[in-house]
Amino acid sequence: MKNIVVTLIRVLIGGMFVYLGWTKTQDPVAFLKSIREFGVLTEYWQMNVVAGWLPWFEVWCGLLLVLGVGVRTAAATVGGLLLAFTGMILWRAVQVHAAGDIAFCDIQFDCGCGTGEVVVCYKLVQNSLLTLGSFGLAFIKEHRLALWPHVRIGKPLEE
Amino acid sequence: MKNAWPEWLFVLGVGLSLSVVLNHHSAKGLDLARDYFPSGMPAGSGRTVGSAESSSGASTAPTFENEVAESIQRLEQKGFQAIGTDEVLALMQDPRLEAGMVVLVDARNETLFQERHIPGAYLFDHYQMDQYVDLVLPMCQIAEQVVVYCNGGHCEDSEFAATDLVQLGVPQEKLFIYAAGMRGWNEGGHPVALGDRFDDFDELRTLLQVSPEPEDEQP
Repeated sequence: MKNIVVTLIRVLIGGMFVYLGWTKTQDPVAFLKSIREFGVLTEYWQMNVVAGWLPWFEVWCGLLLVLGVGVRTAAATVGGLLLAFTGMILWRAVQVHAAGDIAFCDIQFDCGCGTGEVVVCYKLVQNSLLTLGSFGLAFIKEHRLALWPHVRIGKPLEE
Repeated sequence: MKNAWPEWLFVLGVGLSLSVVLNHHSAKGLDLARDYFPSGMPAGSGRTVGSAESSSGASTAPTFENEVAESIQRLEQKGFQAIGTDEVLALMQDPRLEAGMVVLVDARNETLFQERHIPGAYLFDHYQMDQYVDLVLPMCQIAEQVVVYCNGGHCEDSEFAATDLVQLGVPQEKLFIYAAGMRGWNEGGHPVALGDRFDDFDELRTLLQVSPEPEDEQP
């Protein structure tokens, strides 16, 4: 039962990354504009690198999770990305909240997540759960229904 | 995760390499060396308030009219001339439009252009400029007046497209930016064309013939 749940979580998170990453690859300009809205990156090449490369990297990480290749590392990477995304969304939401007389959970904006305009509270909760799930996957040693769960060179390590 | 470095190398190294290659070869990929926001406006400046406009329940959300007014102010600071809906409507009736002496430039993307655009407009997506410049630049160089628009309000793509045209040699005095853009045009219920540009003048004649004059609507 535990294996089924772990596999489902892995496929769900991986599938989301593939879908959302692919959506961004199909309209990198929209993603670029979203990144600019955050105002964190100041140099144009920094924004271009993130908007041009990150969506494909998300698709890659998502595929690794779905297929079960290098699962623990892919999951840790996805967790790290989610942590960064969540921090950015929170930071911007706090700025919007401070700029106007808006209840925090009424704030909506396009976070550049590939889903259009979102309610910030909902997005933060969703991302937090996905982050926990990803790091959870990274701590689990054995993964079933995975093509190549541990990418190793040479002889397999003795457990 | 002892001795996991091959896995990290695989996930990060292969992933990043693929990302670089795929972005480079994708038709929609970004040119890393290009400044897509050439206005000189620092990223994020003034954008936090702008982001509040789309926040539901934002009591400080600016109206579209305020957004247009802010845009006009910003355009004038940058040396661009802004024009309004009435002036664009007048140009629609101007024979210079069909003669190519007045050129309308739609600075949105192809999808939005296909959905609806101001009749007679040329598509010139600033972010995919290379695809359109060969057609649009000669038209702009010949024209006496070039009107650029995007979605209107806080949309900056018309400014970026106008900046491109100036950098390509179109005199800035010829360039006018329709600050209310497509949203202002739609809200006025003015004629629009769908799909590609080529049949627009026929469509325009038809649309202008069937569009009721304001006086006709009076009882």
